[in-house]
Amino acid sequence: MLFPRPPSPVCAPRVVITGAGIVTPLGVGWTVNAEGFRTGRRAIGPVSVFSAARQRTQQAGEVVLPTTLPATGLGTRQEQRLDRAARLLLLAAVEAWQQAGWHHDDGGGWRSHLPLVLGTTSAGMGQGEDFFRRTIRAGASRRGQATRIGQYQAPQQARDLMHALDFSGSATFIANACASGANAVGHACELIRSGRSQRVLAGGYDALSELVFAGFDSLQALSLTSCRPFAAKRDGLALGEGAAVMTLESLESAQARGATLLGEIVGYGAATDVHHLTQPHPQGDAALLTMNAACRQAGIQPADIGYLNAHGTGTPLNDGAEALAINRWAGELADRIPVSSTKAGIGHLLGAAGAVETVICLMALGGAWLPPELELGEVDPVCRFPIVQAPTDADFEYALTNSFGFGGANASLVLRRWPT
Amino acid sequence: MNRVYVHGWGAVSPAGWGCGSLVDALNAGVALTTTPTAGPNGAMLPGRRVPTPTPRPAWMAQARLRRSSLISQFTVGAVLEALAQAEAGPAGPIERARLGVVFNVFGGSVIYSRRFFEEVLVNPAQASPLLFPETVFNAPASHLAAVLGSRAPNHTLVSDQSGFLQGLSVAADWLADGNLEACVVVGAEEWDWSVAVAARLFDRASTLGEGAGALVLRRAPGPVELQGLSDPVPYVRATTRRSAAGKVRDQLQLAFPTARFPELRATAVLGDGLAATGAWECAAAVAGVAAGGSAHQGPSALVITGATLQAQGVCFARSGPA
Repeated sequence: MLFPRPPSPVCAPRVVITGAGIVTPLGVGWTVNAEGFRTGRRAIGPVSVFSAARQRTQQAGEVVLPTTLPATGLGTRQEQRLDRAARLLLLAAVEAWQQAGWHHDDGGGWRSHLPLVLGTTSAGMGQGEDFFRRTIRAGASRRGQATRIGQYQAPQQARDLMHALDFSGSATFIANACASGANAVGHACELIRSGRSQRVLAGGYDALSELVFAGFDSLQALSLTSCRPFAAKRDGLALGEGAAVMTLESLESAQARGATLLGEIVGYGAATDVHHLTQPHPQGDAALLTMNAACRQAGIQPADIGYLNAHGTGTPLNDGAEALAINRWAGELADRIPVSSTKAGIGHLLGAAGAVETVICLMALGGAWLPPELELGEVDPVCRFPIVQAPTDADFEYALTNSFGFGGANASLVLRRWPT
Repeated sequence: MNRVYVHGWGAVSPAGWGCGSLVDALNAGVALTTTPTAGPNGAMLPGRRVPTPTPRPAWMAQARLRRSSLISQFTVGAVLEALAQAEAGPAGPIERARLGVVFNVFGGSVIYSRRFFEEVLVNPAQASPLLFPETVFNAPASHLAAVLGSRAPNHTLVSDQSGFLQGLSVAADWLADGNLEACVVVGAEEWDWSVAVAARLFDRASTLGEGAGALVLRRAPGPVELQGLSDPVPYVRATTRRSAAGKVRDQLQLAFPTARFPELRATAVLGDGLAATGAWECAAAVAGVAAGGSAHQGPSALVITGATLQAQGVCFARSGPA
């Protein structure tokens, strides 16, 4: 039974990451992404997955999908039906699954009860758009319409992933706008910390879609130059697409099977900003709440954070509010905490952002470097903290990542390097 | 302690605004009248729609709700009814800073999404910036948090008809963790022809409904106890909807041998409310358990069979001595 849950352990299990898969406009897989984020490579270019000719900008972070998918339990027809978002998700999940060694069936029965927790804002929106275009076209054939509707829905993507990797369990989709991915990872941690599960597959994914692109453009939130989070002359965000999936385990479970540990998630905080549907509280009140809550759960102080991966969209309102929140959170220590927003390189991945940025923190902790924002120009003077502006080596133990979304969904995660 | 109680319940449905009208309609068991609405290319599509409330509730005039979608209004209506009941009980008022929100949808804000995309197809450069923010899945939950003044965790979950039970599970976990005093769980949906067309691809006789259902959960003892939630059984491998529902029923019968399984037939009476369906059935079951009076005084169990993802079950019982 899912409820009542078993009594909570006296001491909450520690949550470790044993596998991580990542797909971003920088490429597919850990290696190419780690190198891209370490060097601050930018992967924003012309949109090709739909026509953006009539928009104010035609730039976004687009993934070049491989022509073939890795071998999984999906048949050829199932693979052919997969929406773009589902392909991004599958690529990231397979990488995480294999890195964790979960593809070796140890006979433990966990595959029949493996929770899946994913964040997304629009699931297979591209399929939904195609469905709608054909629906309103007089005389259009209904052939394929049921498949389009199926692939549009997040539940279908969960079932496809379960078929692909041969597991079953509860599937939870968190759609908290741009905080979805971070909330999904945080929720997965809670499942382990409460003793409900030993393992959880968690992450976030979103593909570029015309509706969402037009939506952000209608709000004049897209940059007409280049996305430069925390720059004094920033003028908006760039959209992107991608996915990140992690295999989370209790430390006990991971060590019992001799898994390689990539890092530990030690803190999670979530709060709601009720200031406005699309604008953050100008002083970043809810952001401050989540950073404090995440550090409190981690049992650390701001001084312990060696790198802060900001939400940093590049819009004037978000970055201003987040900068004030970081200043308030760090206090006099703000000038000693390096901050950057990796959205400068890949754009805003919406429902995938929080999960992708968690993996970036994992890479930075393990590789002992800080992800830079290049060609930033003059930094907004409100930032009392240093922005990482060049590839930098740094040995640090804790990283914090922020995700703030439409509707006031705010989340922060604290990660700890696993000692080697 | 791990016990969770239901302190309030509310509903907005094609039967009207309020859980009473929902229960009356389900008890009568008669399918409500459908309203035909023009769809694309001259098609007329039936739907069971929520009637306009008379008089118009004062809360609808709040600034955050002035341009909000119907789904947001249904959500707020159901939750305020449930919350008023919860706070009138012996456990008293709920501290808003410790009131969590779990919002469940399947289609979400489909009216504004469809209208916005229609504008995009005509000319994306002139698509309305007023519409887009309301298309986001968590917009209704955001409005609800603003109306309630809740800064506590607030999750929007996307699932199918069974999603409401997943929401109950998340809320119960939050309460067990001890950080929240109470949590509202709401499932909501609004009718639009775009979804009606899609539903008919899978079932030509499908008639969609709309509305919301809500429960307020607390750890303090209340009139109804959430006794159990089954494990969800997803439709993967060889598991069909029918076999999944059977497995869920078996779990519930094993755990709660005296439970009865009331035939609520919400979809037949109110239309398929998608995410609202599970919420309606839970609200009606809780109302029935709380009212007592029937020959059966034991627990009531429900199996909610989702259309696309999974089946799950729940069991409610009238509270005994705390």
